[in-house]
Amino acid sequence: MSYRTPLVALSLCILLLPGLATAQGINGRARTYLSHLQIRDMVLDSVPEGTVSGEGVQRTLPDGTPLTCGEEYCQYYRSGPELGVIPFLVDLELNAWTGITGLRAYTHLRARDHLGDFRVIWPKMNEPFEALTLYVEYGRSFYRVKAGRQWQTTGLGMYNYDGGSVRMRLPHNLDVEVYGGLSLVRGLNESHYTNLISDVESLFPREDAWLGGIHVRFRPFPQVAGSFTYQREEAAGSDGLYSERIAATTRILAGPITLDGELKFDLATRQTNLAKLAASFPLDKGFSASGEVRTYTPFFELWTIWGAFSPVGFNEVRGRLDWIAPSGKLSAYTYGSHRSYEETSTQIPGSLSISDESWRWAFGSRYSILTDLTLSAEYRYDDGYGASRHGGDLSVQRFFGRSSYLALRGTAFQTFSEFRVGSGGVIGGGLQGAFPLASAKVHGSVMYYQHDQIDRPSLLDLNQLRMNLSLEIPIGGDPGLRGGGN
Amino acid sequence: MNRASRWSLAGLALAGFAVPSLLAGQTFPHNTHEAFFSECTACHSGVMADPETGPYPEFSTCAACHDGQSGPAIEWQDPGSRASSLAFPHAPHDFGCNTCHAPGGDENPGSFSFPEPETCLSCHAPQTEHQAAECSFCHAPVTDFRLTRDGTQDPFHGAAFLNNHGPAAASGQPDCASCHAENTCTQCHDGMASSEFHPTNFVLSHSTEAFGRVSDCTSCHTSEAFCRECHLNLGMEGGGGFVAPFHDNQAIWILSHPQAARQDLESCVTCHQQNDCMRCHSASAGMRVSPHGPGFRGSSISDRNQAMCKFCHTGGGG
Repeated sequence: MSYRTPLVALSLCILLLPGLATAQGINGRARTYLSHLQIRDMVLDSVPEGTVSGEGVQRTLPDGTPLTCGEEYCQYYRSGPELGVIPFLVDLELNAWTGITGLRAYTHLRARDHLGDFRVIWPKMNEPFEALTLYVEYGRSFYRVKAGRQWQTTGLGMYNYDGGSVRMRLPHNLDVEVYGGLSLVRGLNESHYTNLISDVESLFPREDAWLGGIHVRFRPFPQVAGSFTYQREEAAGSDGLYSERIAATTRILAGPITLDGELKFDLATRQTNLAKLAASFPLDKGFSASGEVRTYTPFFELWTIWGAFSPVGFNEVRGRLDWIAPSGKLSAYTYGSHRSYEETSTQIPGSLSISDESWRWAFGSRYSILTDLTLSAEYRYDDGYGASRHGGDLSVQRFFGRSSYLALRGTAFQTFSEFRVGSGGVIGGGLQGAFPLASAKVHGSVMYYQHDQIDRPSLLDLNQLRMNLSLEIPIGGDPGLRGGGN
Repeated sequence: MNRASRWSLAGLALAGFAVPSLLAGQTFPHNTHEAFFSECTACHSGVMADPETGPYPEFSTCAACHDGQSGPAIEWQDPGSRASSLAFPHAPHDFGCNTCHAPGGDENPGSFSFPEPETCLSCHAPQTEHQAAECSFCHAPVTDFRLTRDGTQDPFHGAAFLNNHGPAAASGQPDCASCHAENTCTQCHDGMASSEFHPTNFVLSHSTEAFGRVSDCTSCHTSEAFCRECHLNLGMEGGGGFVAPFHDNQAIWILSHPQAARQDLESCVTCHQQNDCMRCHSASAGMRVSPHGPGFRGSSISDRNQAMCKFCHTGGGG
């Protein structure tokens, strides 16, 4: 479903609001983002099977190149031509008070263009204009009504849709919000029946979907808050559902201890997608700690068949310890986790089975050598299922007032793939900085990453050059916090 | 890019640059008046009074000097209350203007500025003497606080909040909208332009994060139109055949893949289409290998969407 024409018209109307609404004011920001990425893609190449010595599916050329052989050919990946792209984004956010008490309009518009091959960046890079958010809100002390393109934040995460919502603030700190409209695919800002999905999935959703739900928030005591959400997505042209889920969250402040609980449940597969308990609390002498246990099973919408493959989840324990010196100049932290996957009930010969647990551990520190000069470092070790990595980052950052800094950053790490031959080593570094330009803020970085294969020829050139430059201009000041104006 | 699109882009860019300049307010040259007014309250006497009075002087105060003879005549009008989300009463905070307006110690009035959030948090953050139970105690929506990736620099929420803010956001404890504008959420959750969330080398290191679900990738990215599209464009083509040149680290990948798929199907679908798997796992074609595991609740799914079942069981999704 295309909304481009009405969206453009509405957006232009919103842009005119500043002139109409100066009595009450507007705020927002304009952000121009320019980037440059240089990277090479991968190309599947092959040689005749008869020219490769050895037997079996997996073989190796004399130079170490791993091959996967069929009846006629042996295939391998090598680097393709270098691709370069310069994406260019302009975001404009405006939050306008109309002069009528309680009536507000908000929009987040985006225009984009690019030079080079946009395929290597994000989807929609060839989409010149879109409205990410565009709604009108009328709010009074005990209710709020919103209409337009908006985001809904619930225990299920963030969803955006074209529709309306009504939120009622009831006695005893009870909030009830009912919402519904045309569902937009998460992360895409498009309805389900879109070529962005059909271009990469032959069994794409044939219909758009209606999103509807209810979100209840309650706070019986100042220290206890919780929420419950029921949400469903229904195919627009039939009686099928794309999803039906519930979620519950709670946050309890027990003295210095903060407890968080989270539950997401898929009514279609009757599986718990997420159950999590977390606690964080301060300790003596500058220490603070947090811990978490969670069980996770992936969720798939019902326009796909993936839920029928009975995916299993994992259980994980996480912990983190932070410390900050009384002077505030030195801080350090460490965190780690252990994850174990549930039984898959698949009959895999012992020698071919893959790992079903993983570890993660990291530690880091930040030291303010001088008032405006900070040294920070981190080391991470991640022995994971599917992929592993270990390495660290080091940076020296010099601040020039609140809004300016210049940082020299370096990184070095090795990666290991469980399902592909060979390891990779990456060494990278560059400069990053920001400075104010009148009321605007300029941010930029130049980073280069050198990637080398380990245990195999460097047929794959994964080196990268990345440059970013952004200019952010506040509009109308930031009421209350940043001041501005007079 | 066609002409209309370029006009849209140009118009938006122009608006982005023009609107701030239109809205820029006047500034008062405090430095040149410093000699005449040693105390801030000489002009801003209303600050400690009824908030309705406002912080600005009467024009007659200015005109006493700026009468065209003693000083140049001027025109000035009280700008009135600023559009503000801050319900800040000065009276209970009567401990000297420079405490908040010149925290760096520079008492030159010309360098005074509006307080930064950290100034407030030095007293009102959690575990401080005057902690605020709710942000909305002072703030009405909407301001521009942002979450930082480095939790050690977040004086309010503390470390690791970025990875665990879901319950707080859903429960409203604290109420995010009291301090955060909507772009605080979308700057990360808008997965197609969240250039600030991941480190710049993330494309080389994201596989461990993705396999481990350190963050919920799908809360910002669509598996098909983000992950798969990029993987395919970069040459990582999923096929679903017996020969899997990409998975060249497994002796016989076809035998290992069931465990890998069950353990982390979310990663598989970042390259593979559904038809790749249906080459074997279909009830109506191919090798007819059932993908269902123990305890599979088919009726619960079919009650909600039969078309999904028909993909495999009748060869069409309707």
